[in-house]
Amino acid sequence: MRDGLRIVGALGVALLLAVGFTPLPNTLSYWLAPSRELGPAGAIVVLGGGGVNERGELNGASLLSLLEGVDLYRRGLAPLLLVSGSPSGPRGTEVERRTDVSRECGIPREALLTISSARTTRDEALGTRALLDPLGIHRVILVTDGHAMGRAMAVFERAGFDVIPSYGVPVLEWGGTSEARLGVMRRVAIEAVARLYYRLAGYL
Amino acid sequence: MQQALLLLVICLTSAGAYLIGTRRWALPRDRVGRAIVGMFQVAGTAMAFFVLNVTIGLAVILLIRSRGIFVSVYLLNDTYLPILSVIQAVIFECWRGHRTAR
Repeated sequence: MRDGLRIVGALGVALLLAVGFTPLPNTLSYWLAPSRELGPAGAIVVLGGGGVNERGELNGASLLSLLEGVDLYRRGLAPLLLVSGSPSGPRGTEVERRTDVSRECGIPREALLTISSARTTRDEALGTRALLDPLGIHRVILVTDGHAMGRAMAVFERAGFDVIPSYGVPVLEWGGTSEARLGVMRRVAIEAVARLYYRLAGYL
Repeated sequence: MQQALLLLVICLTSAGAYLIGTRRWALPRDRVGRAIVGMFQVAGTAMAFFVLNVTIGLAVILLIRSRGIFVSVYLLNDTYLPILSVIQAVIFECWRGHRTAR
């Protein structure tokens, strides 16, 4: 028992040092990111990004992913922008705030679609299918946190979509502080657990 | 550069602690290896507590979800969980150490 714990501990410490002081997390993150040339699609789908804060403002991640979607729309990559988000919030929901910001960024009302009841990536894929299937749209550009892209793409492909990641072809970044690399590794680990859960639940 | 600075600082304070330990407190030099192995044991116990905490947390969340109430799994994505797991491990190992010392 003690020897086992010592071996596990030694491996854990070695991993911690490798994460902080080598490009291991960057390489893993790059390796797990799906890659596909960015091109025209029927719609840009911006997945929920963590909701709103207590003042009713979009949090940083949610706002960034929305702006990425708006930018793709303005570049003419798709005629529709579909935004999703957490259905609850202390002063308005993520979808409501995202709709407001999209309109302020010049997205026409008729080009904006919303999903306001989805709580998970799978719910978002099913909600997107319910909205886009009747319009005959099957190719979408997906906007989400880079680490979640692999799982999100797999779920959307399972729902019948041809999916392009919003970043197109990923770029391998070697740099970063030890803390930043630890953050990357943490998100990679969370995504690995989420992927395992989706596989066990039969969503992938 | 930042990583090199961190390693340099850690090496300097470790060397300082070694000098104070051996010269002022007359700690035996050959016990350093055992201390490192002890640290591995605490780290291993902390990892075991962390895995246990995450597993039980997931089970509780899935149980609540099965009753129709949505709880996000991301609630477990908290920096305090590994920190508290380390505290659990240190307490557990101190407790075990006291038993062995009796």
